[in-house]
Amino acid sequence: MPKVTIDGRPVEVPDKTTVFEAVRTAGRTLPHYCYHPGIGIEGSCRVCQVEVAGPGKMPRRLTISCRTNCDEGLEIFTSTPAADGARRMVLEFLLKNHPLDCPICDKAGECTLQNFAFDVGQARSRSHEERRSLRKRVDFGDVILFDEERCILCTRCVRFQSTVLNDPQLGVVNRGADNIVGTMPSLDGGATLEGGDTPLRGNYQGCLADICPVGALTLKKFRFQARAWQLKATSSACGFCSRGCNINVETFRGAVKRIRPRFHPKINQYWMCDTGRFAYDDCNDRNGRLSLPLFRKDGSLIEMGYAAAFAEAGKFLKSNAGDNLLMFASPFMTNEEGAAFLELSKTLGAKARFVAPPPGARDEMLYTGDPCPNRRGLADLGFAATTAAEANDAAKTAKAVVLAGEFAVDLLNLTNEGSAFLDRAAVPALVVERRAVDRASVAMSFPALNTFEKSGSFTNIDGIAQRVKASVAAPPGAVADRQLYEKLRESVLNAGHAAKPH
Amino acid sequence: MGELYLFNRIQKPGYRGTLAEYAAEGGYAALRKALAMTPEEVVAIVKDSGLRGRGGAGFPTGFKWTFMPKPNDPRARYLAVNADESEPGTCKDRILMERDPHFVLEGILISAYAIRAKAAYIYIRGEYRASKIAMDSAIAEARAAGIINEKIMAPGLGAEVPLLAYTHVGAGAYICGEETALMESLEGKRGQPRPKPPFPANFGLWGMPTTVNNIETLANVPPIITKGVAWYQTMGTKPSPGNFLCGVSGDVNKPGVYELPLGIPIKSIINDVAGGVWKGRALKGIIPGGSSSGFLPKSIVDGGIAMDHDSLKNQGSFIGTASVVVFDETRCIVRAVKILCQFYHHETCGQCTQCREGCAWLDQIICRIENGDGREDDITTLLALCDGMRGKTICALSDAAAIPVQLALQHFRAEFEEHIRSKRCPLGNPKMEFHTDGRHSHDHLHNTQTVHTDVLTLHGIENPEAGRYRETMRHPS
Repeated sequence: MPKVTIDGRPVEVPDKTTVFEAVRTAGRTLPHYCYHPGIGIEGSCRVCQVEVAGPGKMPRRLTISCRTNCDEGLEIFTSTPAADGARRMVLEFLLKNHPLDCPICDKAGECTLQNFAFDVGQARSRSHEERRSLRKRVDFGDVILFDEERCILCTRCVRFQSTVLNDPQLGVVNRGADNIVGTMPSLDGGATLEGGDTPLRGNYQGCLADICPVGALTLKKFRFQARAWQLKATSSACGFCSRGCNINVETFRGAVKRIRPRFHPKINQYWMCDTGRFAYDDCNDRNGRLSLPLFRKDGSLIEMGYAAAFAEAGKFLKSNAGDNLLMFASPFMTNEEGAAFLELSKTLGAKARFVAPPPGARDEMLYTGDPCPNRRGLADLGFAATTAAEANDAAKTAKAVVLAGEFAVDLLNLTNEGSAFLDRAAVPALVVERRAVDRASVAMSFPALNTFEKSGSFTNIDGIAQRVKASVAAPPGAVADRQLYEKLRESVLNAGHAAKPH
Repeated sequence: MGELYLFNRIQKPGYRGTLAEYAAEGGYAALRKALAMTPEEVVAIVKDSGLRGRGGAGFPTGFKWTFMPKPNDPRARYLAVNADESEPGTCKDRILMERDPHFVLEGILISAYAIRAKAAYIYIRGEYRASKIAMDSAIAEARAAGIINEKIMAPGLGAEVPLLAYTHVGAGAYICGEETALMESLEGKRGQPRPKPPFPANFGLWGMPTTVNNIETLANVPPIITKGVAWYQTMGTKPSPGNFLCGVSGDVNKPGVYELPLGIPIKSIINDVAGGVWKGRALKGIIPGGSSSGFLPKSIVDGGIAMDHDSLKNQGSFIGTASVVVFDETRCIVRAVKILCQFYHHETCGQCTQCREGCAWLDQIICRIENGDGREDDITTLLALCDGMRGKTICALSDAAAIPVQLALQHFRAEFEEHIRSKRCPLGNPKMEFHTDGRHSHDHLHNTQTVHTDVLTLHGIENPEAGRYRETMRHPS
């Protein structure tokens, strides 16, 4: 634990801490572009300079803080005229050819070049030269669009591909003032971009836009969707695979506009996959979303008030209580919803199961291949994992079916050899889903909320329970899933006598 | 001019530098003598001799060798030989390689033995095809004669040691003469300097301990081994012993590469060695040691400044590659600075912000001044840019670009002010172009080929290309 001083204040830091991190821990984030804690130290942008003296008789000198280790007795000066001047000069160099199209740049408001230039307070440039003009819209594939003018050549993207993903797909081409980040030439005759380059491949392209300190690499999907300062960020966990990456859900006017990873040292570090990042379209789509329960009357499903629906459902469930009531939960349920559902099933004397589709292929980074966020959580609660085939067998002797939670119906259908599970079972069913499931056997249907509309917790593949927070409002009038199961249980109890517990 | 030990064979008429000719002149005796010693003894001799690197930084060679790990370190070691001679005004290493390749090779093999290198890689500048051919044929001859081999019996070590040398051709990038960029390029990567630490002696080629030495430096090693430290120190000065190869180019009567003792006054180099300023004109200024060492005015030359490490350092310059470029009174310094800036603008690797943007910016401003579009605040801006570029980047290219501007502004500020005030080049030069990519102009200042042509002429060898290069020398006369 070496002891150093930061601007005269003594601090003790862990071994091998860089000056940059020591200063950050002490409360000041120095400007930095090439350095990213998840990608590693490069030392080429030269903007994080500080003055240091020591250890021992080493003279006072300027150095880049990201690449200097805190040795015992090092004196660090962050705000001397030399250090301030050196940083200001680098910013002036960076801004000399920067297009300053902040008013139309997606990064404005969260751009570190903008922020640090504001901090330093260099309001005007000494340059009287013409700014460099380069290509503004370079296609990098399906996810990313590249703006050559805005790029400050920190090479974070190049190094992310080569060191984090071990899949170098970007490089710096040309030399010197002409340096530019570029994709690789296509050698295998596959899909090509304009100019014959290979489009970016892989499930982590969205991370490139996250790590870009300026607006050079932008998400095609987020371009011109909202300004950074309009977005409301809600910290949550991703609900699209069992990894449970920590995320910020960024919303504007009640719709999810962007999802970005949030640092978690053990789960996802600084990253997330594109599968989870871009899964919000379906959730933003309000078309056909239920806000009231549906009840089958004269062959068709009609809307019904909650009070009447709970009473009807209570009667329905009570009359079918017992072993022959098949109760399936979706592994997209939160732990809290699961607990309420479990109570309901106990009250009804039925076995609580959850739908367990076989997991797909995992990748080498984060995606586990299991699209269900809470398989582990439901299993820990005591639910029985049930495959579609087992569900089919159980349905043969069933009197009625409960399918609860978003995707429960879909997941059972996934492996049902061409016909829907509900049709094969052909017994009356109570369904909790976001949209109406119009199968003849569906007797009643309650609305479910999607992953961005509910709060609770998911337990990830490694058993870490994480909080999920609602970031957008539920459809007006809809009762949240957890209350739904609690109310259903009340209705069953109120419908007369409880079923015999097993 | 005293005793010659670098050019003594080259100067003999008809000497072609074959193995037979070199051996007849006592060649490879130093290698045999060195192999009878232990590597540490060789290092000690070179360290005692006070030999300083001739590649630019002037770092003591023997001392550099001692940075290599101890013999019990199991890692492979390498010697990287820097023959990427790209400093504008410099053309000394190619003479050695082309005219006396075995001499160079002997120095390389002794040094490789001294640092216990598994192999030596000679990184030759892409344009130096003749050097590559000469070194390759020397290596082939030495291999056939058994001098180069995977297993040489070293009596001093009592063991078999590998003595291997290979050539590698760069693509002509100036930055690949920087030792870590050279290693990156040797590894087949983009030629960009590595941040230090780790230093090459610990983490060099392919991550192994490596020493990088210049061709001329290594050529000093065989004579030191043969004739000893005391003899070596009779030449040059105490802190800068030995002879050096001095390339003189620009406005002199006899441009060429000369072997001279360190510490010789620059005035004497111009007047006595190179025949004085041409056309009877007066001297305006010089570049003392290759473009990066900046400009010094006539007054300092007349003041008797000597060509050695310390004298030039005291003037804010440095000895660099000890290649003097002479400017006569008709030359426009602003124009000369612009050409240098254009060179650095073109050659910066673009890794560090200050250098990538700064070199281009300097080029832009000085181009404007030369073309008569200068502004009052330009000189202040130039000085601020230079200050922002110096000592703050991974390698020294940024410094090399800023020093000529700083020294020119220090010694020839009036000329810059005159350009800005009169809104034209007072010497009536035509307008210059600013290329966004800093392409070379064909001005003679950094056309090292020109100087070489003259050297060949001095040696009485006809060069069909001589006329072509002479034509590129524009001169307003």
